[in-house]
Amino acid sequence: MMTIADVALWLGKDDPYNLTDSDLAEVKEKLLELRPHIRKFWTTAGELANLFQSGEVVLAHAWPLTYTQLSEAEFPVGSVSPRGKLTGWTDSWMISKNSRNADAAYQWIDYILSGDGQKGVMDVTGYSGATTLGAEAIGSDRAKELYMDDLSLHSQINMWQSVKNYDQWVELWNEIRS
Amino acid sequence: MGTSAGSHSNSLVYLESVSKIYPTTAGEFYAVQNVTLEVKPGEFFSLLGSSGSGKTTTLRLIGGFEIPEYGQVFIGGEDVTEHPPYRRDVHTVFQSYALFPHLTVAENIAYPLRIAGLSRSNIAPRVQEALRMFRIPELGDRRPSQLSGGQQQRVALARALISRPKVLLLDEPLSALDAKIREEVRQELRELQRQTNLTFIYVTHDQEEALALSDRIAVMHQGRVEQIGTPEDIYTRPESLFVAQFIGKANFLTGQVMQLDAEMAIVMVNGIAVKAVAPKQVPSPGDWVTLMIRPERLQVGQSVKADNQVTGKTASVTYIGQRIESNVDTSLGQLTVTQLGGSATMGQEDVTLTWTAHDCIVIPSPPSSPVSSV
Amino acid sequence: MSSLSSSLTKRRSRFPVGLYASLLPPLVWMTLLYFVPIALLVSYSVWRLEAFDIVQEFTLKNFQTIVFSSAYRTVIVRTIGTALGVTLIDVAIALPLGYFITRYGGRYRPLLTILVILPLWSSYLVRVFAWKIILGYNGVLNTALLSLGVLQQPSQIFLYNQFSTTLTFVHIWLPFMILPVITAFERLPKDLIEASADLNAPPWTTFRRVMLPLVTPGILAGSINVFSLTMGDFITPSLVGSPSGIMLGNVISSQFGVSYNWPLGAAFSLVVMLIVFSGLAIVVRQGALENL
Repeated sequence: MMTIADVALWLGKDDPYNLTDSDLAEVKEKLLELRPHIRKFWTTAGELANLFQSGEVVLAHAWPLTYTQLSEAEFPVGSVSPRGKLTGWTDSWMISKNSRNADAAYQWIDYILSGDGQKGVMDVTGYSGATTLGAEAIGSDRAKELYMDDLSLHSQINMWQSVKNYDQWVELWNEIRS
Repeated sequence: MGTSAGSHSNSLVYLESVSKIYPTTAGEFYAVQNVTLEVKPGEFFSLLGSSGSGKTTTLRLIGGFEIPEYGQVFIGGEDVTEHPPYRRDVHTVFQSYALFPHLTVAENIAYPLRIAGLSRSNIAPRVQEALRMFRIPELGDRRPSQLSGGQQQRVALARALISRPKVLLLDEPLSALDAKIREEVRQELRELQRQTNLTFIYVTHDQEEALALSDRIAVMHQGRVEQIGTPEDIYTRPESLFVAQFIGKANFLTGQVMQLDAEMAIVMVNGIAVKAVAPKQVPSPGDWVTLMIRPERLQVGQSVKADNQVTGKTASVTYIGQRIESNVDTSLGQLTVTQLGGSATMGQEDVTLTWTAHDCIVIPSPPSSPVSSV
Repeated sequence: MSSLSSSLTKRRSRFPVGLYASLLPPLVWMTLLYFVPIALLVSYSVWRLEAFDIVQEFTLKNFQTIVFSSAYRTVIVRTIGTALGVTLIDVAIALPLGYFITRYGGRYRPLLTILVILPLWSSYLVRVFAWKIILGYNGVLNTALLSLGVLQQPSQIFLYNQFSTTLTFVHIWLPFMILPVITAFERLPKDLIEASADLNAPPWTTFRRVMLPLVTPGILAGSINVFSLTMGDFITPSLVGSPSGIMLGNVISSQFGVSYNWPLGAAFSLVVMLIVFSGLAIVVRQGALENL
């Protein structure tokens, strides 16, 4: 789905999560134009890394995670990103309004935002963290690898938002894939 | 091969020294061993034997379901030894009838005609005719599973006969039927064969069936043909001990040949001279032989025509409906006598038994083992 | 007197407690694991999704979406086409295989039958991945063709297309076709084949007129297996399929997953069930269930 937003940005739309029917039609046309070059729609980061390694693909629209993984495996790989036209998402913690122990939840969230908590998440998942404390906790070298040396980058990212006409997005995506 | 076919030009089916061998863990098993027989056109020929005697295998060699390891099979003078079944002008009535369950009775009967490539318009009247002939005209649209055993048997016969093969092979076709209708169907079968003048080769383990139906019988035992002959030949003049024991009941006596000419033999049994008919394979004086006398050929009481006479005591009497079977202890050993029911001699303690030399058959015994009476 | 009257009263037949008691567990089982989920599926399919909330009001909107979207129609047609194709190919493989195993297998027949179903003992995913490894760019097939000099450089035509999807389906579902077919051939009485030959039918005619009609229930039983398994699968097309070759299973899994549109997913599931049951209905009339 994020690919739709990426293509919309590429086509110069201002808000990639608020697309009109005609915007979606343009996106669809662009995707259909690209489709003959597509070998595989990857579903997991591991699958994508495997696709590169087995020679199935040479170019992918991907997350930084794959670049990191492949580099660590000493696979010759490079990465580029479109200036000012980045998309991304953050995983979030939410507290239910019916929570019986909201204090504990707040404590947990505090911990996750702390240096230790952030470092733990990044070590396990290989994804980038979200806080300055986290960047400090992992050290500057690792922070550079995870694109966390300058967190002002986050302000340039078009973070994922709920899409109103999500049904149409799903249908568009299924059309591309059928 | 051609010459042997030629020398049997009047035989329809000719087996020349055929052997069928199956490998077993213990080595080779001869299901059929060195069998030679010929069947003439229009003959009702039976292969008679107990299970494992090789009679069904012999039939399968003729039908083409087995290929013999040795020997040749000729049908109508042609060497068909290695021809598959579908290239032989021979049809079979299987023991199970083997009707096609997915076809109706009419379609089953029409099957060989359709294979032969006849048009539907030609087939239909012939199937109707066959249904009428076998008195099942109302069954044409039924499935085999809806038929009784007797009806299935008629369908199997109709199917096998409709394309008028040279030879019809029948593998125990009556064994699946009730005893009651078996005799009825047996008569019909004999009549059918006479009417159509087709050649039947009939496998059975039932000696009564073979004797009643056949023009000639081949008695088989352990893969070999023991004797080929008319029912009367087989019954009254068995050439081997096996045939004598297999067909009907008989008294067997063991003795030594004393005198011998072309027709008559005198054999000493327990010190008594018994006159008998000389066998085809003539033994020498001094040889041990077996004598066979059918129980119904023994006469109770004095008789001037008799060649042999012996006295004895009645040991037991068994009443079997229309006949009475008595065991009599004589100086020759115990003899079994059958008489028609109500005979006056019933219940006598001391009896005289007589028989003619003609009813006393000499069977050569294997030299090593004198056979005791059975 | 009393004995006379009792002999005149008809004995009441006993209530078959044992029968009902033994029927109860499967009935409970079927209700909980079959009828209830289907009822849930049907109710979801007539609800609708609105702003990430499932609105529990009757509507046929989901079915309209399925019918009027050209993309979804393409997916339905492709799925049915693939399932039919896979079924036909499996029949074409299973028939001669079943014939030769039962007719010429002899004492190796049980062994050969086990070899046929042996793949079932390995994981489904492993078998699908095996095809990825065989058909891939640096896969077994390409390597072999390169070393034989047939190809100058690896080809991409073997993987991620309709061919690889069909091939994988054909392979992984083949045991489900072969087993009923072998059973059907084994049940075929030998004397019927002999009778046909005896009535002068050459082998091919015997096969066509006697064997084929009698093993058809087995073929149909296998076809139900293969067709319904293919209709519902989403893993094979997503692992080895074409990027533009999703099947109904993928659509359903995405509706229940990333798209969070359970009503539409339920409606799609019902469409699959409808197609499978139509196939089943056609086949049951031919008596296939006796061989399942």
